[in-house]
Amino acid sequence: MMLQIAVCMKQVPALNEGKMDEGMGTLIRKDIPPVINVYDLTALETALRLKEEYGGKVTVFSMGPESAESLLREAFAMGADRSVLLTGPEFAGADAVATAYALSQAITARGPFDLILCGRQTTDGDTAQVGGAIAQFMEIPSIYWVSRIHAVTPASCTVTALTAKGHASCRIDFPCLLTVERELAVPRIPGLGAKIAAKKRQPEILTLQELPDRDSSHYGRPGSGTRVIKIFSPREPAPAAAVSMKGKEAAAYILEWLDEQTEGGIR
Amino acid sequence: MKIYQMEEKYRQFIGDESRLTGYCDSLSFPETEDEAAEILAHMAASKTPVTLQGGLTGVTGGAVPQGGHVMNLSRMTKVLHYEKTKDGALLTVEPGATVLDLKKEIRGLAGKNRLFWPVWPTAETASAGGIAANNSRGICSYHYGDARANIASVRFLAADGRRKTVSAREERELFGQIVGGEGAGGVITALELTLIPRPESLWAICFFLKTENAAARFVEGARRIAQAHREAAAFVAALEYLDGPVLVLIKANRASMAKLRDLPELPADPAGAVYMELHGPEDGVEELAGELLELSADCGCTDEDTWALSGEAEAERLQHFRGAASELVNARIDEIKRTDPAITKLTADMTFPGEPFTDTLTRYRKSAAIVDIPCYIYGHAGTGSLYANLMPENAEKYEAGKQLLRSWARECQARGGTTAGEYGVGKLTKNLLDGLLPEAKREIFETLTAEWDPAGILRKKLTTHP
Repeated sequence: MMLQIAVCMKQVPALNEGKMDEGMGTLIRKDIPPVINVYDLTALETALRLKEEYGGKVTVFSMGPESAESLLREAFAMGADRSVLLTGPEFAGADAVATAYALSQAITARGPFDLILCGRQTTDGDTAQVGGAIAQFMEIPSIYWVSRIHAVTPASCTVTALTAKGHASCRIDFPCLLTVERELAVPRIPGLGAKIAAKKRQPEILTLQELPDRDSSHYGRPGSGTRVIKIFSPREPAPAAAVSMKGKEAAAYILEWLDEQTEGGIR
Repeated sequence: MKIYQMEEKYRQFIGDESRLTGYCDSLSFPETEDEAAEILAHMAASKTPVTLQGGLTGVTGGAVPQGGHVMNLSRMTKVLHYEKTKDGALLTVEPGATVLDLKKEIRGLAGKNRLFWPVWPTAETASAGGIAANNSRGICSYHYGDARANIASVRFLAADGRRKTVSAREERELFGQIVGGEGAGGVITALELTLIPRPESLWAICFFLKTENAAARFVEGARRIAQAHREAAAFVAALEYLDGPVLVLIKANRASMAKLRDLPELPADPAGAVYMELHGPEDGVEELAGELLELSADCGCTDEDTWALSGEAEAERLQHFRGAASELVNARIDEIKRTDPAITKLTADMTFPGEPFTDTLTRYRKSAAIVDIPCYIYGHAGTGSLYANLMPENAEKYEAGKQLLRSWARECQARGGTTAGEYGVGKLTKNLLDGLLPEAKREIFETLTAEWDPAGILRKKLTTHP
């Protein structure tokens, strides 16, 4: 079996301090060191383990500025066979949907692939929408929040995924897309020799002109349907006073408190 | 002035990471230098002994009270001043700011200029005041030096009420006494930290060696390489060692310890690991890494026996790996104390000057084996400052361990070494190594007390005798 696996990865700020550029509606990433999105590392580790067990090739895709090449070299050091950087001014300011569309175009341009793996979300935008949207654009089935991959055949794989109420085991036919949970696999750390060797490898650069859809209005900020108005942290609730009482006194107190909270509704 | 009588809810303030527990009559949590001064004056008037506390991360019991008053400085956390300089910046902070606080502040204030403060102890809740009082080093001290080398001045509130800003450059002797003086003579109420430019590139690398002999050979070789690149643009910033027993602890706790959860399985049965950080321009760092790769191959490492990450955020994963050693060794002591509460930590924090790494390691390993006490060794391999932690499992072994620790100290003294380094003297080491502690430390304690603390409320001694 020779699985062709694509992995989508992104470089994110190491810390999400929630500062935004109000004009652009995007996160301010300057001055914060970049790291590979931790969920994407799990996706890559999963791909590498599948390749080691079943044979195949792993191609990593990322969209971003040229500085994202360091991410792709790290992927080489971990064991990726190929890496593709989708870059160009047309892709700047993309929301989750425009990002997914661009990645789906890149994967199509370099495909076909049996399996596309994404992390469950990124730690900057936190939308958890890109994986599903890629599958939608490519018109392939997808399963989110995969926590285990049980069996792989040339035509399908069987996985366990988290659901709102627990877990579900499903079989899904190739080609398909899975978004993976961090518990699926702890990412390996490259060896020093592999890291030095990876420094000499160049990721493939992919631009708008090489995509099936070359209409720039479908990408980046023009292709984005959403605008971020404000980024803020939820207000922390004020600390509640601790009271200590017993029996009926406590019951009466709780009843009165609930009544206050529901404006008399509890009675 | 708020002084609280000791009660159960303050129990956390009578112990620290040494696992010693003391007692006190009252506590205070000053928020300003004026408030601290008022409390000290009050205590001096009644000649009440005062124990100073920061982040409670000390491992020799320096913050553990033996009666009297506890002054906890953890609420003095303000950033007082930030000023750019020709080479970097100066950041003045209060002593209660923790390593985590400092990292955030420095990122916010100096991020655009890519500055950092290179003295980061492995405990992230350690306070700036504690770092200064103990003259801590952190894992990158091999290149950047200790706290003294990275603080421009301190604000000193003497026990007798005088206040003074002491500059490292202008009052070198007094500055050297206060930074590393473990709180004798007065309270550090502000520190001016020297921020320097971040390296363009940072690689963190772990080498896992299959035998302790190979690990020692690797350290010796790495020291030679580091020495050769000492003045180069790309250099070795950290050269740290973790022995086989420490790695077994890390393996056993990898899944349950939050900071280790992002690490993969360690290579099979390593007898020792060397953690290194390389700083400098990317090309130079890569070349230096290549030399170390060749050395590791000569010492029997395959590529699977190495981990390498680059970038300051990614490197944190491996820094946590190195930092876990002290936490896990302390946790092991806790386990032993549950069976016999009288057993305390027995740690050698000694430096044998000029001694080959192999000899230091062999001394600890062989003599611990003779008395049949497990020994966990980690620390600054670059400078030979290793921490050998004896883990006696019963009272009899504990007595044997104490004697062994004292025999190491005697040998260390005979060779002109230091018997109490980065961890300080505290109550624990003072008790264990009575009569074998550095004379220079005694002089510092006595000088600071005589000059600044006539009532002796912050008096420090090197002996348990009155």
